[in-house]
Amino acid sequence: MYRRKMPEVPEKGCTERNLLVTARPGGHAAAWTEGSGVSGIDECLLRAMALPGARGAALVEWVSGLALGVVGEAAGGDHEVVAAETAAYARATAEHPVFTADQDGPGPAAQEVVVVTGTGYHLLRFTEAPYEGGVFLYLWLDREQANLALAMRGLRALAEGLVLV
Amino acid sequence: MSQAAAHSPVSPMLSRLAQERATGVLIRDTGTLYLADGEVVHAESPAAPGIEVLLTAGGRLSPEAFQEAVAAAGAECATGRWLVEHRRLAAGELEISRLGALHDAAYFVLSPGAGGQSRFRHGVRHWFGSPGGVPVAAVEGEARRRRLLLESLWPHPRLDAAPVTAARTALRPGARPFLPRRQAALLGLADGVRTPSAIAALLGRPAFHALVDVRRLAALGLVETPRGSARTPGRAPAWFQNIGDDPDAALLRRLRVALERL
Repeated sequence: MYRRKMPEVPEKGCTERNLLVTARPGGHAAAWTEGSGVSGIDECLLRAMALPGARGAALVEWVSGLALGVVGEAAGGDHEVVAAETAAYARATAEHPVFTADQDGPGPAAQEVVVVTGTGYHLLRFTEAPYEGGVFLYLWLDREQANLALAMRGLRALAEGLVLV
Repeated sequence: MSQAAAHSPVSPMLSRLAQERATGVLIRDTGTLYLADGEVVHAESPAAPGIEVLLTAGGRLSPEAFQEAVAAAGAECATGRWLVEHRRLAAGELEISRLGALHDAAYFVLSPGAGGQSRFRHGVRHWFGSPGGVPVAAVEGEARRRRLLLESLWPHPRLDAAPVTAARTALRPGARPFLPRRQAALLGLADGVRTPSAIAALLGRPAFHALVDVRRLAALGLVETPRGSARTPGRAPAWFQNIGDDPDAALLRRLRVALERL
């Protein structure tokens, strides 16, 4: 059922102005642009950066804290730290006794986390991963420029697109 | 582990191969690293489940579909591409699994305690195929970060290779605190014989995830922390190390571990 779902139409309100890609020296992001063109993870992160107000995005494995891909700015300056710290937060959410109380299927019971700060939005979207203890998309947005509803809808579509055959 | 040891390159040979932009396979006692143009494209270790286990465990890909892909494209080293082109897997999903398996196995291959000779066979490619590699420095950095993460959870490295034994408190009904489902599943398989790697293979998870959960369970007092002398994985005998000249050595090593698990 999940696999048959049609891809959602890309957001009309997307602008390219936030498309700043900073490949970390020696980081993972650099690895993906080589070889046979843009990869699934890269493309997903670049599209996340096209959402209005996007400042940084990452795809992170939440058990290990492995950054599978990073793009844009990192809150605090270090993408690796952001990946490790958001992974700890994501794990606490995914395994929380209250949030998992009525869990009825595989994968994390929690689907999304929204943290609103004075200056920004931090969004976490868990994806249905190939193996348990999977990954989440993280998106950091500027609160002045971003549209929270639009960003959440966009992130949801991107997370589905990652694992959509 | 001292701070100095944590930041020195794990394998000087690997750094040299990266500089030379070498293509081939690095064979160590702990597993193998496949390089293409000096970047790591694949890793295998007897201690970590292979990518086929991770891909098929969650039910997203059937073992039959995987066999079909290997039969059709394994000889051309394009199994992964075949799976995506024939719409068995999404490109993103494949990459997540490939990178997850790579860093999982590389953590064991690059473990500082690994002894024996490293050998490199030029020109060898992996049957799975890969669109892009990860720089050696990034793979080593991630392995280092993982070691520090485990240290911060519960500083008892012996837990990584020792059989997992559930503590008596964990077996008493009602005495157990709330456990997330993933940790409960692991504890359920802790029979005092299986190692974290064996449990990870049974559950179809990356082995490092099992190491993390075992450390957390030990910190909670639900898994026994081994005491006494260090129990490191046994070094392979000299005659066995020499079979590194054989391209199928990695297969033999995995076979040996699989037989030990029975």
